[in-house]
Amino acid sequence: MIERIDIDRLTLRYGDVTALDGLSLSLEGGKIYGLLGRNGSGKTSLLSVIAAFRKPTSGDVRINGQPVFENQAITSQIAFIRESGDTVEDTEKVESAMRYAAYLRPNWDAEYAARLLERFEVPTKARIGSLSRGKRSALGIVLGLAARAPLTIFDETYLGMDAPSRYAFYDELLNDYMAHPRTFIISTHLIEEVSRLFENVVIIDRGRLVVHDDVETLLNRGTAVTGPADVVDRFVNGYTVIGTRQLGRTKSAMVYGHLDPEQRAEARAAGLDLEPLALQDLFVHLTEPRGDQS
Amino acid sequence: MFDDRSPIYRQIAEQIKQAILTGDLQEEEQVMSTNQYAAFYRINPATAAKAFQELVDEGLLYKRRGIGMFVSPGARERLRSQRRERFFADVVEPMVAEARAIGIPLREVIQWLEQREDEEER
Amino acid sequence: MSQAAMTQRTQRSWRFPAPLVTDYGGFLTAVWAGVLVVTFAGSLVSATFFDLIPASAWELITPPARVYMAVISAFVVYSFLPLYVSHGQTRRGFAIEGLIALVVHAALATVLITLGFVIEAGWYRVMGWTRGVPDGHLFTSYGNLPLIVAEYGLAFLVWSAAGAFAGAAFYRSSHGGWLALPPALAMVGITGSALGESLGPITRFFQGLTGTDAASLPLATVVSFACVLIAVAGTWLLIRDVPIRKR
Repeated sequence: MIERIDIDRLTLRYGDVTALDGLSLSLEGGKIYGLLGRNGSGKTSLLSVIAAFRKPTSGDVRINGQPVFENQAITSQIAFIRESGDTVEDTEKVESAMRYAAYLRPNWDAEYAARLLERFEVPTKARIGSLSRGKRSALGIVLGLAARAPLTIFDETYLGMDAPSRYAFYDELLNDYMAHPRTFIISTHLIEEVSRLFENVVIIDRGRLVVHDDVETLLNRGTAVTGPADVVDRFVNGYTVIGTRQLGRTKSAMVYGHLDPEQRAEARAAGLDLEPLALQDLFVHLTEPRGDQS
Repeated sequence: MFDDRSPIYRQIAEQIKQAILTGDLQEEEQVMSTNQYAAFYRINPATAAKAFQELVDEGLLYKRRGIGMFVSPGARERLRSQRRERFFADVVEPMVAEARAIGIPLREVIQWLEQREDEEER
Repeated sequence: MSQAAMTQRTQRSWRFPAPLVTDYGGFLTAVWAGVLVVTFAGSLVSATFFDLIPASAWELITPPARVYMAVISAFVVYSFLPLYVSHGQTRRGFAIEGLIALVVHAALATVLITLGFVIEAGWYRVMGWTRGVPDGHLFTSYGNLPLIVAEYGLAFLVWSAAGAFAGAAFYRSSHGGWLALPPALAMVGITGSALGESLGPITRFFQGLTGTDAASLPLATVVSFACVLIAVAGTWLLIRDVPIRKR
């Protein structure tokens, strides 16, 4: 079991590029996490260090209090699937990838793997190099789910998959999570599609943590305040405004922070319309490049 | 499937309440599990569990250890009286406001309702 | 997988690498069988049409066989290190299993190459040809099987280790990989020389050491194991903290 993952002041540099910049974060086991960040925000770097694919430049990752790097007791509990998954060479057949997974994975469920291959229509006799991008992603999903690893990480494992196969993936993930509770971290750009699978969301930007919270709390923190521009401006004065839009005299300001019932009543009395922000909007505005930060 | 404006768990809770009110869910009847709800709506089971917790807190559902969630005795009656209390505020007031905004005199609304009552009595 | 196997995998960092051994052992055996047929057919063609009977046809395939050993080892490190790590194994675990697989692979190759000489003896007898051992060997007669085993066993071990070292270097960095080639070539060259091949000053140095022109088994053993040790240590240094990159 993965009880907790503690990331402490993690820094990772590639030459003079800083991918992770003193990032600290603690995750509890047994949940489905969504990891969101723009391209180049450090998602893959963070996941690579968690999964012991990379050694950090400084700082550390501990799982259940133990260091991760080159620690068999911990790494054997982690499945990290990057995009289409790391398999044997392209010249090998799908069934060969399954054989090595069965050999190397302590909890491998071969029967489940076979069922998943069938569901995603991945031909077992085909050479891996001959698979389409979507089928390769599906193969990555099979390797990730059938490993039944206590910590399973999917990093954009959907490239090339069409919507029906992606939803099949979400269904399989959810059902297998309920049947075999474990920790999942899912990094994705398709936020609207998967956000409901998440219990918690972690947003990172430029190698730093922006926010980590449970989805409901996070959604409660984002409100679009819409109404006449001057009234909106007066109301949002003093709140954290993460974005605004204007249409004629109507203005919409995105407020980040909890509004208590009194404040909501006040807004409504002033003729303002309050609407919760979707996770996608929150993400976009929380990671928007701002002049003052450059 | 759901309106994006209110949290999904509240929408699920609302739906279960509606089922209790209409009698689709009888008292002492077992409710589908959080996992079944989660799978059906493709949501995190913790989110579905929140809906159930809300209903347990309101005394509409109760938990039988190791078996599942059941509709509490008296749940329907409690919901009905709650809704009755809020009926004028939640349903009639907005209707009045709408009637005013589009220029239907309240007199006309009352006449319509009386006519409807006559039809139903027949 | 059984419960017992599961706990074993979690608690121990390595097991006997059966899939690697059977995959590459099976492939090697198939290649060997094919080469065997081609070699003897080739010697027949050569004898019939060109009136040229090789002193030993099988001898001709031993240089490419050594290169094959190095290439397979390089490939195993290059492609199975990331596979092992992405399936939750440690670099250390892979190093141990890879080493076992390569030693077993080299042992199998030694058996097959020796078997080739034995079969060739029968083939030459049937054809009525005579065989001769060229210079540059530990053994002086094809009948001396223990020395044949020793020579190819040592050579294959060193070529495998040097290949693994180069494979690790190329995995670590595609540019830096080229830097590993000179030391790898030096290792196989020195070993070859200790096994009797003529390599100028190195051969003369070894001859001075043993006081004889003939290659010496004890010296070859010491030199080979030293090279294997250096190559294995170098491989470990290259992979012990190597990042697993995207393909």
